[in-house]
Amino acid sequence: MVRISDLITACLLIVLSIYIFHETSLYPEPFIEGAPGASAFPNVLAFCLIVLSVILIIDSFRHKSERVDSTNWKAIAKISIDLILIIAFLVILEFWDIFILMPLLLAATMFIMGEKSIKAIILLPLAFDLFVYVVFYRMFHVMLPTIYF
Amino acid sequence: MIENLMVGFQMAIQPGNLLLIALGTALGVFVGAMPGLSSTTGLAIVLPFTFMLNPIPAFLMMISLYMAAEYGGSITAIAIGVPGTPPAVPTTFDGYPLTKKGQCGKALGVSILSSTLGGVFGTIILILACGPISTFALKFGPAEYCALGIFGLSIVGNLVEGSVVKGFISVIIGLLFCVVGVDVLSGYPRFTFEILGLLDGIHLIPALIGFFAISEVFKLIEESGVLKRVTEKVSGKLPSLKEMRGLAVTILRSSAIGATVGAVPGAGATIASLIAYNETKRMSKTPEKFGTGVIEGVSAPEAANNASVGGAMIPLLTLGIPGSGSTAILLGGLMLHGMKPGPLLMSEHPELIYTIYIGFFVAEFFMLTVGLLGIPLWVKLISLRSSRLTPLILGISLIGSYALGNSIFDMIMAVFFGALGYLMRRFGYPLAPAVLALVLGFIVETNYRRALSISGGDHMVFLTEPISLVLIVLAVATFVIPAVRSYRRKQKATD
Repeated sequence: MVRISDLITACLLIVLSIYIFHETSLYPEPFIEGAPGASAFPNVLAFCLIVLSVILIIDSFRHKSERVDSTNWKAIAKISIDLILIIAFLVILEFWDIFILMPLLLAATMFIMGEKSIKAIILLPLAFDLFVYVVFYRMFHVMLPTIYF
Repeated sequence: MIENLMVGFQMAIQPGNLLLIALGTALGVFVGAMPGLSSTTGLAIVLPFTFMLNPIPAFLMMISLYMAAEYGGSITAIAIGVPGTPPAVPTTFDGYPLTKKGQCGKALGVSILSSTLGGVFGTIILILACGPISTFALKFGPAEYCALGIFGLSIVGNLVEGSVVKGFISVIIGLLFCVVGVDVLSGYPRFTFEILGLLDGIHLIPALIGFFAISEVFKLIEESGVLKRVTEKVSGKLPSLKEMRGLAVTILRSSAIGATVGAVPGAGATIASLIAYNETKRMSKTPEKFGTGVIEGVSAPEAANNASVGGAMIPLLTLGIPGSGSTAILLGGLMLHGMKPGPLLMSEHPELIYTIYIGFFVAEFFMLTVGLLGIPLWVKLISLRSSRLTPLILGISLIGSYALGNSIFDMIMAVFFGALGYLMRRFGYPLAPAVLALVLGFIVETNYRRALSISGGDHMVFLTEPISLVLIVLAVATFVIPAVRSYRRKQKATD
């Protein structure tokens, strides 16, 4: 049985390498003769990536009858939801207050992870908020994105 | 020298100075532990306040903060798998697995004791070897820096367990992220996709936070249906005397590496701790156990990164050359108090120099006290339920990644690297090599191109410079020897 994930990853990495070669072909030549220019290092890396990807493809065909673990779709769903919430947090943060958004994000994460205690879901994010306000905002003067504080 | 040290001792133990050392130490441990904050941040904040003080108390506070922050980074590295500072990255390799085995107290105990002993060693080197080491450090040019970076990268061979191919792909991925941004030598933007935030390149701290902390958050969410706690059994038991005696050689070797590498401007505690970890693993009788939770894997980087503080002070005090952001702020502090850093500092202000020497020893004692007293607190933290601890890790990671540059873009980068790190772990690609490449890639590429610009494209420059040659030979040996050992072991097993 072929390791499908390795095959897909290897193909994606080869596509990435081709993109790198294309992109770096547009870079200017170095000013000093003999010295490597801006394209040298990325090209070396892209070449190494192609070689390693080919080895990975060969390797994935060599492994026979491998037991494939069943995917835990419930766990994937939890992670996906949390990731969407984090992205929403980052987008809304451009317009709103971190001291309001952060406890909401943390409470939602606790709920996703199966926290049953309502008291904990409310108090822990608020305590964290207070900690961030006192330590980062007041003590270390980190200019957190805030509107109301 | 003895008389000057006695004068320094008398000045350092004055009650007011002791209080400032204690304050600096406590603050240093705290900023070091918080991801996104570092000794540079802490020093930048206290510097203006020290203007009100006399030079000696001001410096005692700042050097205490600097020393303690190097240790502080290990606390979160061990307790929750988030390195508080870049030099604490190798500490996570074995520190967090020890926590997962329920040995958080032992890991933290090894860390504080190794950091203290490493710091003492680095201070002794600072006192005794100032002159020779500063002369050696000045010989580093682009070829030597490139070779040092390659030597650091060579430890990949020792970090990769399982699929070697995937390990090297991980390195290439890390190196590819290093080329993002405006090329410092040609000024041409590479892979920025016209995004303003990428012109500056990928910031290291958000990438580290993403790879280590946020990917771990996703992993803990995945396991939340199964695991109620990060570890079911939590012990605050400290390491035994026998275990610490067994670490003597590791601490001594790693401290020597830390003090020497720390003296090279620009090399710093991060490279020192990585090299020390690698050398310890390479010389161990059971290298295969590294990465699964062995105390040597915690002791080596911690001894090295605290010893590097003493090393970093050598070019600063003898030549007026700051080797890092933290020492640059210390340099600013010297100038703020009307002192001219350079070769004459020792002769013009001997009382300051010798008080700094003694101040380091006193700071290490306070750091040991603060560190040991704090262990029960951290052990209590990680015994929280996963559903309560994980959101805290997520929150501190997001705040920490923002705090570096006051930028939401850094938060976005941290989340991106978190998602990438989770996917890499899921499909069997180790993170440590990618992180290593991220740390060292810039040094390798920039100095490689600088060296070839100077030599007119002649690659022999890396082999004709003695220091560069030695480092490259060591890099090849570090790379080849584990591979040969592994091949021989496989041959023996099939026979």
